[in-house]
Amino acid sequence: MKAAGKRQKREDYRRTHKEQGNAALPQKKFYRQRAHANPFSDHQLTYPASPALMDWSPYYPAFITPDPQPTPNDPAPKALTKPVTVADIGCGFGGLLVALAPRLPDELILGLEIRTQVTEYVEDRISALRAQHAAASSSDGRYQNIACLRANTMKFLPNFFTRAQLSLMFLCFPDPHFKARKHKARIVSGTLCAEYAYVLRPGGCVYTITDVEELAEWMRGRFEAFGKVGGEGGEGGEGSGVGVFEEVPLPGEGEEGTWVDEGGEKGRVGLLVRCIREETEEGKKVTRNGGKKFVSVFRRRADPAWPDEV
Amino acid sequence: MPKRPCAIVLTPDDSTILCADKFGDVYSLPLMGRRYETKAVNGIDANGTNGTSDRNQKQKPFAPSATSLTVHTKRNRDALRQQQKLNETKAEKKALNFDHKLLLGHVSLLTDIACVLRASPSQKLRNYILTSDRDEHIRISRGIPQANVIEGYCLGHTEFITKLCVPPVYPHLLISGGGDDYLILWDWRAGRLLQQLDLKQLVATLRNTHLGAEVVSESSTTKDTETQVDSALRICVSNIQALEIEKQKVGHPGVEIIVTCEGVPALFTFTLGANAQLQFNATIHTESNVVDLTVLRNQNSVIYSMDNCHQSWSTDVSSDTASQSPRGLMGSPSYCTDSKTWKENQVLQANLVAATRECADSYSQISQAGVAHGKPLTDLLYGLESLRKRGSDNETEV
Ligand SMILES: C[S@@+](CC[C@H](N)C(=O)[O-])C[C@H]1O[C@@H](n2cnc3c(N)ncnc32)[C@H](O)[C@@H]1O
Repeated sequence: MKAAGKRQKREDYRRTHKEQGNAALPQKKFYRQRAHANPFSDHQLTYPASPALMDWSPYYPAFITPDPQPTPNDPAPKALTKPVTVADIGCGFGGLLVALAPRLPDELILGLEIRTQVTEYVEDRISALRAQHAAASSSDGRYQNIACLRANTMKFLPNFFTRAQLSLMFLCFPDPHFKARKHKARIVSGTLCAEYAYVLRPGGCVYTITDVEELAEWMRGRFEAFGKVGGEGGEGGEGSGVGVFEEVPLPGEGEEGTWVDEGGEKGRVGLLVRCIREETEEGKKVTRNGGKKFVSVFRRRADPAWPDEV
Repeated sequence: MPKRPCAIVLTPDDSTILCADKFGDVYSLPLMGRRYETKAVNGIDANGTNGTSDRNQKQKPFAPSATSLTVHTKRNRDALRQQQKLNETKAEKKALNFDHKLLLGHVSLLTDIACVLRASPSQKLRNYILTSDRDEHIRISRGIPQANVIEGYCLGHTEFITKLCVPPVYPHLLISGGGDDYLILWDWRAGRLLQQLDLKQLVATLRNTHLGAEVVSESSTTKDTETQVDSALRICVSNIQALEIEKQKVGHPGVEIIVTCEGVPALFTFTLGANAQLQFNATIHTESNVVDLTVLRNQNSVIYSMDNCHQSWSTDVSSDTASQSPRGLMGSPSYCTDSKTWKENQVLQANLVAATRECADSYSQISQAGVAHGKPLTDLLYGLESLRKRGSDNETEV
């Protein structure tokens, strides 16, 4: 009964929010949900059978390729003027998306989140921001380049993105799954690195941040060993030789500004590191509690030559 | 193995076993593997590699994963407390004492694996590993030693996949099937879907004929039995096999593909030609539901096994053995290159009947004695259908 009452309240709230033209930022308390969703269970997820079948037009309506002669009832998804190139994996309440929107104005940025209510919150937050900034003088400030959808990224990343489609991926404050028995549920594992490498283009980067030191070491270990002889796929030895990911040098806490001022590739790293430290919801919480944040960034190398090519 | 194997295959050079498991991982094991006598120390194999857990962490004296400053949920803090309590006393699970290596993994249940050699642009051979899972994915990875590189996916199925078949004559092609209505033919290196074949239509047609034979009174009202598809009918492909037909003289394009489905008393055969198209050939009726299938390469024949415990078309209603003459356990049709049709291979069939008579008797006794019946028996014979998702969403509110 209680739960039903709550749901009713939430639905009423969402409806009025929509009716009022979305302009007011949504209140989090109407979108609360259990902190964990099991990444192994069969949620009622919607996802395209393959990336070619994905209709992105409802997510990025400002970037639909104009069709001079629209065919009525054409079932083919409407094409976008450019593909999504930035993904925030487990985006939570969307703080990072909102921060990135004006900072990466040329990219289409997608948040992927497994929890339904949280995804709805981010959707409502984005449409409120779009309504508020519709008249912004520059298109950079209109929040048209960010969107959020519900997905289990541990299973369905290749349904949304083709090989080498992404240039940036964020893994911010992933659920730590402390128990060794649950390490398979971690969003970074030796075997998942293969999928991240698949969707990232050579030269593209993965940004990671956590306040759990052991998880930070774990993630670094997985990305560093990945693709090395003896380290492939597995989670055991460090391996030898060249891996698929190389670690990128980072500004210390507080040094981001000087990096940004330097511009170029370094400036971009500084900017993005500052974003994940300061703009993610979890990052803000950690700051309030006086905790530590562990950041590491990895650049994807090109795939190794086939054995017959060397 | 760490988890229940779901499919195993040998690499083309016959040196290595690839084992795909229920947890989504593929391990490689040398065919002539060594065993280690030494017991694992603290979760580390005797050979110093460690398949599953973080070695650095285990070697260090225990330090908690997070501090009291760590944010996150109450549940995480509870887990942390538990970890602190348990760590000193917990006995590590015994590590495997033979050579094995984790090659790749899906976050899903793996259902089949294939290992294929293809020529590179410079005409050198390249190894590929193909894996299918319960979440509709077929992944194309490089072979050992680069199995971590994903080359692509074949995406198009809308239900769990159960079988991958790379025909020997046309190794650039792949035929896959599972819990949805279609067989799919792929150019797997390009991830390109070449053909979708409506298997459900074939099964439904056969089933309508069967029902028509039984329920005569209804046949007048439903004129169009051939095309009516029962919406409750579910397809679950249990096997896809390729039989190479010797090409010389007979003008056969090369391969017959034979498909079986759970709870269906038939084999469906297709001809695969150089034009990369599957052409339906024939439905071979069988006495009872087909359980499994294998091909005899040099005899243009297949051998299939049947379920004589359940009624045809049912995976749970047991057959009324008293009212029936004992049913066969096996069958063996052959492809006749002259007529280009499938016929019973009488010699082989007679041999099979003789060879399995004893087995058939004891088998029906076992089922009658109730050693295996009901759901356990259904699960044993028709385990693949259980891969279907039930659409449960167990998320709840706080
Ligand atoms: C601790 S929160 C961090 C949220 C956000 N990145 C931040 O930094 O504020 C981790 C988020 O990842 C989501 N998540 C966990 N597993 C996921 C999966 N397999 N696919 C998509 N999202 C997932 C959770 O629902 C949760 O919202």
